[in-house]
Amino acid sequence: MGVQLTVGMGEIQVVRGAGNVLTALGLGSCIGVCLYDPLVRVAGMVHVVLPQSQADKIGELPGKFADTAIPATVQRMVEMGASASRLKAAIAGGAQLFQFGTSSTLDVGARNAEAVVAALRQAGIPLLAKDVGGSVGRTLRLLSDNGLVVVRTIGGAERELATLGSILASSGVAA
Amino acid sequence: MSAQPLPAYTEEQFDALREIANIGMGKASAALADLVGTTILINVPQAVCTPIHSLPGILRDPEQVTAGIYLQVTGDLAGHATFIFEVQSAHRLAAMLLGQSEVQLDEVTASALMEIGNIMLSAYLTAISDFTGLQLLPSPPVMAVDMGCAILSAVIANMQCLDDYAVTIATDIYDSGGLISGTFVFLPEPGGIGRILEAIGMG
Repeated sequence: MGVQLTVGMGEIQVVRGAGNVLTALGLGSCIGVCLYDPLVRVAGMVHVVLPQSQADKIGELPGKFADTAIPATVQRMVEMGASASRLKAAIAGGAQLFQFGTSSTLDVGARNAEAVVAALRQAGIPLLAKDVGGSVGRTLRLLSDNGLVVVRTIGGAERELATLGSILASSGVAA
Repeated sequence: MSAQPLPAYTEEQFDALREIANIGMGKASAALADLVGTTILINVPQAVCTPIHSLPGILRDPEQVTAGIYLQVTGDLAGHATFIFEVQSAHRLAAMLLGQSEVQLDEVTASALMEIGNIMLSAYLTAISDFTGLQLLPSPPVMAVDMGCAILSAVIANMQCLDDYAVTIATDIYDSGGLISGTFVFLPEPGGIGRILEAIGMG
């Protein structure tokens, strides 16, 4: 039967087959990246915390940084039988929860979103939908049945962001 | 929590950190009690080295809507302090402080809550300064209302934490009537823990 996995900060989770759900709880300035291969139903999610890794600080969590997270997740998915060329992506997060004074403006959320979009483009993965920016946290879910991506914010119902498994969804959004 | 302390710190050193946090939180909770006129209780602080992916696990319900008051600490050591109050508790605290029976979460309330954070953190830092001789200063507070784990992840991202682990000092704050419930989380910058331990001769 399917599993339900939580994807913590910097973590990568990859599952194969129907009935699985991957969840990133309360993404603030972090970005949750959903990747999906519809043919073999391999679903991956990574919880990106920062835009850029430093060579000596990658540690055991390549998923933490946008530039290392996408290649690492793709590799894990390929090991599970996915094809890199079939992957589709959707992303959510990158909010700025705290409004700092103008002097210390350091919008990690926006920089994260930019870096993730760039990393997906570099990997040649179409980005079908994104829900990024703003000032509210998001919980992101990816269903392995059909690549359905849903987003929830506080005080709001879950809403559909994309279905990565749909045959109609073949082109990327302008990024 | 299942996190193992990093080998860099011994269990005795973590005990010392807990004790220092306890002294600080004692003063902070007393400051809050003075402000709102009710008895405020705290748990014995936890001091652990946590993998960052499991950090939201220090919250009872990571998805619960909370008011997070975030202050940076500067001075002899840098750190990041966050008070996370369950949103109903935040309403009650603000109402108590403003002397009203009920409040909406608006700018006045937010400002009152940030002031609560400021006063509590100042008390916490003063107590630790007195004990260690280190000079610690709070920055102006900022506040957000959102899921607790979103608040924590925003703090982690803001501190540009590049390590896989973070030394986490956490304490629950509550009252006996079950009206107030919150968590205080202090995340020192890497190197900060070493400086505290050195200051008390346990480096």
